[in-house]
This record gives sequence, C-alpha cells and structure tokens, in this order.
Amino acid sequence: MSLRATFSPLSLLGSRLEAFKRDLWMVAGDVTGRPRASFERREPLGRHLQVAAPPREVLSPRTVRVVRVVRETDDAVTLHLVDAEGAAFTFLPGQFLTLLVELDGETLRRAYSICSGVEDGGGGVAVTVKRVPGGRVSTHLLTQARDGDTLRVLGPSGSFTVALEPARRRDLVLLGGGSGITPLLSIAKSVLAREPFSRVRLVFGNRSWDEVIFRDALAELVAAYPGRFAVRHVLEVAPKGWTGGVGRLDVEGCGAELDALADEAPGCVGAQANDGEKAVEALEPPEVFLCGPEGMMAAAREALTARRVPLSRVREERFSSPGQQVAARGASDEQPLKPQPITLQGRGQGRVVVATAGQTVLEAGLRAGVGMPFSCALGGCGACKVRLVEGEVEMEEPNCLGAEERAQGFVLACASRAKSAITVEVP
Amino acid sequence: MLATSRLTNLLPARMRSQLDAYLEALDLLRNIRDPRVLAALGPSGVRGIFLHRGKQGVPTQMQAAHAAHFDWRYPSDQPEMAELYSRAKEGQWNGDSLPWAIDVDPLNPEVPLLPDRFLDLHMLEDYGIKVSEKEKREISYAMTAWMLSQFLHGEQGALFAAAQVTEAVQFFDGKLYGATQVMDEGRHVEVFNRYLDTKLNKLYQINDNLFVIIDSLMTDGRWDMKFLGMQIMVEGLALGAFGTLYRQTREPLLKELLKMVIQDEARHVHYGVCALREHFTKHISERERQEREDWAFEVALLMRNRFAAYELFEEYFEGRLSRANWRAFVNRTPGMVHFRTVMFSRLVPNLREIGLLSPRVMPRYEEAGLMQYFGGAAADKLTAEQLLS
Ligand SMILES: Cc1cc2nc3c(=O)[nH]c(=O)nc-3n(C[C@H](O)[C@H](O)[C@H](O)COP(=O)(O)OP(=O)(O)OC[C@H]3O[C@@H](n4cnc5c(N)ncnc54)[C@H](O)[C@@H]3O)c2cc1C
Ligand code: FES
Ligand SMILES: [Fe+2]
Ligand SMILES: [Fe+2]
Repeated sequence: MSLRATFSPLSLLGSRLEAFKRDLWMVAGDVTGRPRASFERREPLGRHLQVAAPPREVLSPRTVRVVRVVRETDDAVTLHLVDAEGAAFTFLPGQFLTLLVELDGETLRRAYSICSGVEDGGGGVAVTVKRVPGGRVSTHLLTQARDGDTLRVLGPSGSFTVALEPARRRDLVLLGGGSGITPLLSIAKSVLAREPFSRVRLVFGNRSWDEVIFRDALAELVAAYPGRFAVRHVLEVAPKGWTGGVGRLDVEGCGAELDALADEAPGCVGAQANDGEKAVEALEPPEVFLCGPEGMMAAAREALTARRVPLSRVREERFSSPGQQVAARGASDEQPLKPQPITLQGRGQGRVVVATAGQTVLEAGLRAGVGMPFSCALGGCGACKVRLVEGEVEMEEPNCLGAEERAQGFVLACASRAKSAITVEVP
Repeated sequence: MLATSRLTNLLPARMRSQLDAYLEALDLLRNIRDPRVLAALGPSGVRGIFLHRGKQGVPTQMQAAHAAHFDWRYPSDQPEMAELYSRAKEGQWNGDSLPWAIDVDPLNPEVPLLPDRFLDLHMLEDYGIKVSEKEKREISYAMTAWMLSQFLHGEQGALFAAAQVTEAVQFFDGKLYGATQVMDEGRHVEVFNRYLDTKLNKLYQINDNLFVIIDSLMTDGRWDMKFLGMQIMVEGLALGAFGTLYRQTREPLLKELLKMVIQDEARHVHYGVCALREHFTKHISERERQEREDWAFEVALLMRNRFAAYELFEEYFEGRLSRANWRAFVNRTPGMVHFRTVMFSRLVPNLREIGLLSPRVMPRYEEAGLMQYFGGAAADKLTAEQLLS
C-alpha cells in the first residue's frame, strides 16, 4: 500500500494491522533476543546543504585554487577546485558555480556545473569545461588552466537539483547531451550514494565515442551500483562493434529511448530493511532531468509531452542563454554611473535602497537585506527578473531575457545598474 | 532475586539484558502508588518500553486530546509573561549564523567532544573489562552522539508540546509568548539535527524512557500536564544537561550551539515556572495537585534512568558485561554523577517553586537520593548568564 493511498476505512484497517504487526515484531525480537541496531549513519541532507549559502554571501566571490586538471577528451578538461582558505564547499547536486575569469583586462563571468557528487569528499568540487568553438572563456580554460591557478567564483547556485532524502524511492531518468552531462553526473552520484532505494537511468547522447566525457566514471558507477544505475550511450557516429544506441537525440530519437525505458521492468529496488524484513516497494513515478544542447532539449520536451509526462516531473538546465545568440553587444553610452535610490515594490514592500555607483540592482537589494530572488547572478537564468516601473537602467548584454519579457518591461536585477532614480517591482 | 539471577545467567546475553530491562520496567510500574498516575503513565509505558514504538523505524502517530482555548477579548492578563514575550522577540537568532564552517573530527583527542573522565571507562576494569585508547575515543564519540540524539528527540517533543500548550493555555500573554517558544524549539531541532547529520554523522534512536514521557504528555488532554512534563521535567533536565556539556566540551561549534540554545531554554523554564505556580496554587484542587506531584516524581525517576545510556551498552558491551553492572558503572562514573547533580539541582527547586514538592512526597525523593537538591534556586530566579557560568 502506498503512502499516498487515499483515506478509506479499509486503508485504516490495513494500517492498524501493519502497526500491530510491527508491535508484535518488536516484542518477538525482545523475547527471542534478536540483536538490534540502536543508531543509524547520517549524512547532510537537502535541508542542511540548502541553508549553507546565505544569499548575501553568494554575491561576494570567494577565491578557489585549482588543485588538479584532468583532460577528459580533446575538447574538455575537469578542474578540481578547493577553497583558498580551506573552507569546505557545500552544494546541492546539480548546482553550478559562476567562474570569474580575467581575460585581456576584462572580467568574464561564466557558469559551470559542479560535476562532483556531494559524497566525493575532500571538501573541494570539480567542474568540467567543454570548449565552445570560438568561445573565449572555455578556450582559455581548456588551454591555460594549470594546477595552482587561483580563480574567483560565485555560488554555488541554481535550482536544477534534488533534495536528498534517504527514504525516497526515486526513479530518475537523466537525459543528457555533450557537456550537459556535468550536473547529471553530480545528481547521479549523489542520489546513488545517499538514497539506497532510488534508481537512476541515464541516456547520454554524443556525436562520437571520442567526445564522450566521463566514460570511465560512468562505467565505474554502473559497476558500483548494479541494478540501481544504468547508462545508455547514444552516438551519432558509432565505432565498429558498437552495441549501444545510434542516431541523434531528436524527437524520434528521444521518443525511442523513452519508450525503451518505459518497457523495462517496473522499478523496485529491494534492500534489507532495519528489521530484516525484505522491503520491496514500488518506485515513485519517474522524474526526468534534462540538460544538453538547445536542440536536444526541445526535442526531448516534445517527446515527453507526446507521452503525457506531466511537466511538473520534468526539470531542465539550459547552458546557453538565448542572449548568447545575440552576438552584438547593446550599445551603451558609457556614462560613469552615480549612486541612485532604488524603490523596491512587491516583495520589497516599498523599501528604498541606495545603490552605490556601479552596484547592480540585485546587489543593492541584497545588501539592504531584501530577499530578492536570483540564481546565476550573470544574466543567464532569468531568476532575478524584476519589472522596471520607473526610471532607466543600463543592462548588460547579452542576457537571457526574451523579446516578450523585454516588451513587458522586465529587466534582470543581476545585470542592471540604475542610471536614474528607479522603481522596480520584485515578483 | 537470587533465584532470578541464577536463572538469567543461563540465557544468551541479549536475552539476559532484555530480562533485566523488563524487571526494571516492572519495578518502576510496581512502585507507582497513585492509581491515576499509573493510568496516565501505564499505556505510554507499554508503548515505549514493551512495544518500542519509538524504535520501529516508522513515524509515530500520537493522538492529542486537548481543547484549543480561544479568547476574543485579548486580555492583558500576565505582565510577567508579557515581559518574557518581549525578551523572547529580542532574543531570536538564526541557526545558520552558527560557525558551521568549523570542521569537527569526533575522534581527535586534541579537541575532545567530552572529557575523558566523563565516562571513566577505567572503572570497567572492576568488572574485568579492558578498554583500549582507540575504543575509548570511539565510545566517547558515541556517547556524545547518543546524548545529542536524545536532546534532538526531546526538542522534537518540545516543539509539538509548545505548539499544543500555546493552543490550550488560558493566559493570553502566555499564548503570544508561546509562539516565540514554538519558533525557538523549531530552531533547536534545526541545529541539533544539523550538527548530528553534518558533523557527527550518527543518530541514535529515541530512548524508551524518553519516549514514554513524550507519549504520555502528548496524549494527555490536560494542558498543565503537558506543560509540567515538557517545560519542567524534560526541558528542565535538558537545561542542566546542556549546561554540563557546554562547560565540558572543547569542540567550539558545539559550545557555541549550546550557548545559544541555553539562552532560549532559560526563558522556557522560567515561563513554565511562572505559568504553573499560578495554576497549581490557585486553580486546581488539592487532589489534582497531589496527582501532579506523584506524576512528577515518577517522571523524575524515568528521567534519571534515561541517562543510563543503555543504547550505548548494547552497542559496545552487551555480552561482555551485564546490563545491571553497566547501570552500576554509569551511576558511579564521575562525569555522570556530576551530570545528574546538575540536572536535578535545576529540577528539584523548580518543582518546589511550583508547589509540587510538599512534605507528603519528600520521603520518596529522599529515598531516591534527590532531596539533596531541594535548596537551590528556581528558574525564575536564575539568569541565562548564571546558567552559562
Ligand atoms: C547554468 C549553466 C551551467 C553551465 N555549465 C557548464 C558546464 O558544466 N560545462 C560547460 O562546458 N559549460 C557550461 N555552461 C556554459 C558556459 O557557461 C559557457 O557559456 C561556455 O563555456 C561558453 O563560454 P565562452 O566564453 O567560451 O564562449 P563565448 O565567448 O561566450 O561565446 C562564443 C560563441 O559561442 C556561443 N556559445 C556560448 N555558449 C554556448 C553554449 N553553451 N552552447 C552553444 N553555443 C554557445 C556564443 O553565442 C558565441 O557565438 C553552463 C552555462 C550555464 C548557464
Ligand atoms: S540571477 Fe540569473 S539572470 Fe539574474
Ligand atoms: Fe528546546
Ligand atoms: Fe524549550
């Protein structure tokens, strides 16, 4: 009987019976002298990891040191990072760091998902960077990053995460393409290690076998969690003797993979429960996590919709922001900015804060203690969207705001600086 | 007694300790003189001690039966509570702001969680048991995790009891104050849970005796019983325990955590004393008072036994040492002696202050060795600074 069963006299009777059986089991254990475990091992759960980053500190970067650079493929490197002052990183699986990279006298901000699991230990984190053709930061990191380098980072932030909870019986389906594997690996590792009853299945699309990041790490994970973790590689160009999937993860490709997953045996992950009873219960309905190139994500969404998977069970992470397609920088007339009063309506409850010269609307609000929403702090996710009611701002371009949102008067608080006294509405 | 011990010696170790546990429980129930107290504690005793409801690995449902007391006139009825309310508002703090970045290594002898003499394991040599240095450190770690786990379970009880009492109490100033206490207890659950999960990585099951107390006061419909149980007994004792641990631990994060919790608890016990003194002396009959007096005594005994740390015994010594010998050891080890002294020297004066320690029950406290604490100061006379010094 599931926990979600609706209330009925029958289920009441059933639960009474269950309770009675448990009581009997305990008494019998005492009388027969069955040994019992009086404690359990505990690990930091979602709640503890979540609170780890008070929002005000997220906006002031911390310095990290690169302790190891691992080349994953011709086009990708993994950077292992530790806090320069030795503080441990706390993060939720699936979150990203925003790296501040100094290049040619400019500070460039780019988000990179943490690919290590919360279980990996050592207090550090790892990010994997895949080169984007012509990409400034990714090319720089791929060719120049060395052990001992220091970097400044913001975060961890992002809501493409799972709140770990040992009692859950999740059925996770991860659909990834190319560098989109990074947050998915972190989620897979963490869930497998912390949730003994959950199962994880990954479908991972790439152009060729040589381009597959984390080939070995994934194989090790499969070996470590037999029956609870499975990977299906799908390649556009397959080597000889290839037994995995072939083709693109377009609408048909995604659909075929999803159907194959659905045909697998209904999930149940058994484990010895505390009291020695075999606890085999059905898994929760599948949850889907998507991360990959824009085309694959759109195709996956369409395939999921066609299969009536409720969108509430589908989570997505976008690496490329729509604004990145806008190559041209917005022409700004580059006047030096002055301190400006900002009136925060809505969630800001009408408070007036003063932004110092050059401070973003988000920074000014957070410094003053207003609980403004945000995530990436670099114009890439849209979480900090506010409506400009009055006044003028200068907004960094490109960013992820869509044309429609712009027309409705939205601006990104993390990317906007006040040019006059302004009033914004915080949703 | 002779006959039973000869019989029990023939049984396997686990069964022998279980028999000792049953005999101890029966002894406790047998000694309850007031039938009404037996009726109030008995069912909870069965659920806790025999059925181990707190150890079944599933959530426990406890039916509450109190009445929510509304007052649409919002009287300003208790200036002392009103003052506590405004102090409580000022005293709020954020659990996130504790120094969580501190790395805790529970086995590091340089920064011990508990001093060596707390559980003086050398004394076990009297029973022919030698404990290595390594084992000593492990047991010290286990003991800390065990105590903090019991605190955490107690705080969960406190959280729900505070919420129920806030509904049921008839003083309006008390209701406003109660809201802050609910918040306080939530925060205590938060920080103890976080410390155990992220620093010690171990959580012990609820001790049966503590379960009995919580079960009994959650299911009792009378608000003053809930109040007495939670504010005076469980938390009053916890306050003493927190204080001892605060003074003895060398681990900086735990020290800071306890310091903050103690400041809240000082208010809670003060409120308990203030509300119950009024109630017990003015609003109930002598018969009802006597019942509460007896109940408090029995619960004090349960609380004393709760600190025998049998869960630790089962983990480390079952088979090597009899349960009765473990009990004797825990009763003698200097840290625990001190611990009990501090705990009961807080509790007993509070009971006296609210009028639940009349000459009628004094002999029983005397017999249990608890009268020596009669002369101390009650919570309403103690400041947080005194508790921390
Ligand atoms: C939340 C989040 C998490 C991310 N995690 C990772 C990660 O784990 N690993 C990783 O390698 N990258 C990740 N990215 C992408 C990363 O932040 C950069 O966008 C990417 O490295 C390119 O930066 P660049 O400076 O090299 O390219 P730029 O110099 O900014 O751009 C060069 C050219 O490439 C285009 N372009 C930029 N980014 C992309 C893209 N992602 N896809 C397609 N075209 C693009 C631009 O429009 C431009 O034409 C993540 C992005 C986000 C928003
Ligand atoms: S916080 Fe992500 S766009 Fe501003
Ligand atoms: Fe508390
Ligand atoms: Fe309390």
